[in-house]
Amino acid sequence: MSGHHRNGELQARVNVLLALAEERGIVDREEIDRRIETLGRSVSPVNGARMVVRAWGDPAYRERLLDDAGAAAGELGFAGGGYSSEIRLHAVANTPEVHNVVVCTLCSCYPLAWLGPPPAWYKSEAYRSRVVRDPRGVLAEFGTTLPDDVEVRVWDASAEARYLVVPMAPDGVDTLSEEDQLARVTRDCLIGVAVP
Amino acid sequence: MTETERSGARPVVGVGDHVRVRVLNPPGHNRAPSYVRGRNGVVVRAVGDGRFPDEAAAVGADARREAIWTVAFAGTELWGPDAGPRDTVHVDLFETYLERT
Repeated sequence: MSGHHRNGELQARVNVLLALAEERGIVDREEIDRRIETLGRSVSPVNGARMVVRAWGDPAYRERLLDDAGAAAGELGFAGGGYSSEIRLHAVANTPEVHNVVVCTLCSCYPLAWLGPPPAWYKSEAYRSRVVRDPRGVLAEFGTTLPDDVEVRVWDASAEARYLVVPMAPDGVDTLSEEDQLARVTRDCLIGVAVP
Repeated sequence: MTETERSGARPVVGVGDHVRVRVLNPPGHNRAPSYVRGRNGVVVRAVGDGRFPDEAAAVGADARREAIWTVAFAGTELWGPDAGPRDTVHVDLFETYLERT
């Protein structure tokens, strides 16, 4: 994966900017630590999994989720927001005819406020440049092979919306406990590179 | 389309419209991915509005607000005949980047 070699240089720049901002009283390092801690405690891909599992068992919730995902997340106590209140969450549902997958080609936009930080590969130039051009090939590398007649929709999050994939429930979902259902909805399913 | 019409006060495109992404290469910030510039698509969703990033990069919170639209592009429109015939790419684009076709 390209791009990682620049992290050291980037970190050094961030450190210099942070030191300057702190010196001039613009930021408070303790406040930054507190915010990072809060974020780490309150958001994780399990939030998204809870939304999906609820939607599997509750058609009315599913409808609300697809209509206004931010509000539907809020119903389960996942507030979103964070660094920008302008960021909107939008859920896209897989069906037998359509499979969705999410990317940010320009940077690494991700529903961080709801799902926590993205995996490293999501930010790699390899994923970002290839999944728009050859989504089926990239999905196959993740072990997800789709029938030819399924439409693949790639969502390139480049503005004020963040995307969450609602995968189809696996066969026999009714026989699974809620805990087992949650375990099936991995972070990769919510990005769309895997299916439960 | 005049600059006034692009001010965000009144949407100039709507869901269902066929659009082309304008080929713009301003000296500053721009949020239209280069792979969709000059390409044709269909508006499929109204995202809402946001601060126009080309302007926000320069002036911050005082930047004008503008409508954002999700535009669906056929894979073959973006990548040519070897793209999957059933693949689409959906991109969120500020209205200034779009013109109706």
